[in-house]
Amino acid sequence: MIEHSTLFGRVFLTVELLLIGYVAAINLLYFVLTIIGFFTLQRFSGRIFQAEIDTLVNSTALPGIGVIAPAYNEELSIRDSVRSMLRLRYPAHEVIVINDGSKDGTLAVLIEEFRLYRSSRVPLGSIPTKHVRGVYESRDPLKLLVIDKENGGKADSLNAGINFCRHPLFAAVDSDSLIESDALLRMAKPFLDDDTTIATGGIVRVANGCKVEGGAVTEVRVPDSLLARFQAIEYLRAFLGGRVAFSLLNALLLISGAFGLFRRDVVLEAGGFDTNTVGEDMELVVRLHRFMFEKRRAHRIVFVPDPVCWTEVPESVRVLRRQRNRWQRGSLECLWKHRKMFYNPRYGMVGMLGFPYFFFFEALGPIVELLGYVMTISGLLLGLIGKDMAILFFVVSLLFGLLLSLACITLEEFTLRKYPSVRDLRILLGAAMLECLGFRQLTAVWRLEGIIDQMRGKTAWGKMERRGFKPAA
Amino acid sequence: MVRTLGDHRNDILVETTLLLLSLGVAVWLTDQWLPDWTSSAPLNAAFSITIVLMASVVVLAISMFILKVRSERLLRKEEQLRPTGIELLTSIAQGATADRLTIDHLAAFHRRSPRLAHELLSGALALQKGEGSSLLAAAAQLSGIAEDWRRMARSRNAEVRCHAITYLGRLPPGTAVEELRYALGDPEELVRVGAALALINSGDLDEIERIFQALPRQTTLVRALMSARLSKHSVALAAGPIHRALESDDSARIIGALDLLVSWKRSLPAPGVGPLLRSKDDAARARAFQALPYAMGAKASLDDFEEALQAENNEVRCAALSVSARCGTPLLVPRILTLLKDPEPTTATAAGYALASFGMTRLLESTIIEGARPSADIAMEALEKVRIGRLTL
Repeated sequence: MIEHSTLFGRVFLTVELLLIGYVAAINLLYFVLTIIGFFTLQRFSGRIFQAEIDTLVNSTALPGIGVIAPAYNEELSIRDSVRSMLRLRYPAHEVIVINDGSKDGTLAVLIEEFRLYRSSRVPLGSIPTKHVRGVYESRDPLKLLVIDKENGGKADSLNAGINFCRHPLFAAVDSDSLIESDALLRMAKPFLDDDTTIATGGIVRVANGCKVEGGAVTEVRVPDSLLARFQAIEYLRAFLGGRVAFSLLNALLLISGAFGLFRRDVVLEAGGFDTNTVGEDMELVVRLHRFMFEKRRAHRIVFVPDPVCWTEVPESVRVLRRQRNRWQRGSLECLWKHRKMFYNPRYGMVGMLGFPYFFFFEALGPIVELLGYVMTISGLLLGLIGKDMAILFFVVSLLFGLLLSLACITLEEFTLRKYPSVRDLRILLGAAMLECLGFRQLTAVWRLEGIIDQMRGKTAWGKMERRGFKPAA
Repeated sequence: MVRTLGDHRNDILVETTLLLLSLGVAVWLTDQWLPDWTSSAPLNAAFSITIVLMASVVVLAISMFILKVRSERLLRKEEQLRPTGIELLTSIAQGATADRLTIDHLAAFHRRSPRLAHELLSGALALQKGEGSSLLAAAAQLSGIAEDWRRMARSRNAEVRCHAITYLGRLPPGTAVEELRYALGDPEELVRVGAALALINSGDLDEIERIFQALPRQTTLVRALMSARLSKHSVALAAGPIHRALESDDSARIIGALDLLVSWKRSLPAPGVGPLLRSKDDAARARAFQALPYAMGAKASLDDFEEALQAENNEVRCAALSVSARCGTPLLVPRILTLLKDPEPTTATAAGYALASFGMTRLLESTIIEGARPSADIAMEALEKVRIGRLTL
């Protein structure tokens, strides 16, 4: 029974009810976003057919794209990554690899494999970066530029790439991600449809378990490890639900660092990537919104609901913990830096919807969720709340979460259908059921650690260990 | 190999039974532990909402599985039927057995698997030329497939309309003009594009001119798609519609015409480009310079270049620099040399490349020796590009 007799009891009950309301609100909001995503993905408009892609691949009327890929200590994989990027189907693209002060033989591999010579190419942009030691181009007719610079991190490398890029658009990619061959064309479509488009991002999918041949995913499968399967569910939820809906409202705050396409002139004007943050991808998108609103220029940042990029997610708890910690710190840093936009109508839907959503549900989420668990269990043990209240909390937090995951898998199957076999679908459904029993709580703890680390001023990135893609049989 | 749902029938049966059993146990436990749970208002509300949501998701999930099963069955059926269809269409295209019986076979094939029949027939129409194409088109009419496509072209579903327009566009020229013209006004962009591309392929110059007139109002994507297809008719377009567009006062039409000339990269009679080199519209002026190397009969004077190189607009300066060596004279070199020090890096780099194109290697070398940056760096880059034979920005 609920103990109403003491002030402490009443306060406890009120807080508990507020927590339940919060958890219900967040899950319902996600559910609404998923429904919006469903209808958006069902729409025929905005799609591009293979026949159109085949025509456009030979067109001379499309804007050029510089594909910028920072590389650090990647001598084992860089050869395949660059070959895969050079093979992308786009009429005018150049691959720009930035060797960010690698300590291994990344540069030597590139020089030997692609017959590079030391070039005198001049940077046309002037974003400050660490010292560029040399620029290399290929003797072969390859559109490849390699920039060798002192180590300065991912954002610094991307800035160096932007400086040397001579195309109206640039794609910021992770050199260890696999990009679909038509991805550039699909991502460039919003720029061709509407002149006010300044950035686009696409769906990033989990590559663990997929078969990879020649730098391309040849067979889509669900990951073998449970941890990677949980992340596959998370990625589906994040991309198919939230981002589609936020893009529709022009309130998208995040384009994945694994693959985003940007208008070079606007990014140069806005000052390039911020080198003093661990969440440079989100920071740039928020800053671009802010910059364009302050200059009173019409703009769109668009999410392309096409799977364009495959990435390897961590399969070890240690690495995943570091990654989630960093993501949380990055979000908090960005929200704090641009706090002026919070509930500020001057920044349109970004200020009134995107920013508050990120603050209340993404930044504060782990604190409230964990507090809810602690208060519910302790309240139940101390007799401060009744069983019905405890059940209510677990219903809204666990069952709603489970429904959300199931809805996203269904949405994926109805629209994109990337997982071809029934077996994969069953595994994903199973993983979705297990994901809310432990994994979600664990990520909330890691994100809470991220909040604490951010308050302590921690700025480290942490090392990402990769196992490599599964080769095709 | 991808396994089908049929292969997992037993697994699914077991899983469903287990799921229902666990649901029953959960309800029983709740009832035991919390006998009065139905009297709690917030709990009732939460359970009600959860049940509604869960029911919706379960319905969705079941539909998903049904759809998956049906699509897998359909695919398997189509794979089995495909060789028969190909054989049938090959015999029709070769004219060997274009009799009533073959047409009846085709109609029956269409009834069995409409989607496959549409795919195979439209694919065959795209591949065949001349008599083979006419025979296939006649078979499409007689078997009722063409009528089906016409019906699909009026569908409320944009995707169906888009497929129908693609199929109708593959029929011989003049067969489905009415439907294609009607589709030009479709609210869906891809349907409009499909219809326009089909009409371009028909080779009817009136239709092509009508499409050309509509181009300036289209998005970059549509213009890019059209310019690729219109290149087959570039000579006819240059003689009439492009010529008239270049002489018009409509800036959008002028830019549209110039964009086509630039994208085709083919020498065509376009004397109207000459006067546009002095246009007050910077976008048109820049494009006129870009189109100049391909515009036969267009006259460009030294003054046109001099003025463009001094223009305030960076795009105009760069466009003039990029074609100065091909269409200008070495008298422009002193002006270009001053642009090597232009504060706008794209102009300065274009100036370096222009000097290199003129063969002014000595000038570039002396700029390097002078050592003033960034001119010296740009001169070095331009010289290097000359030496490796890749002098394109």
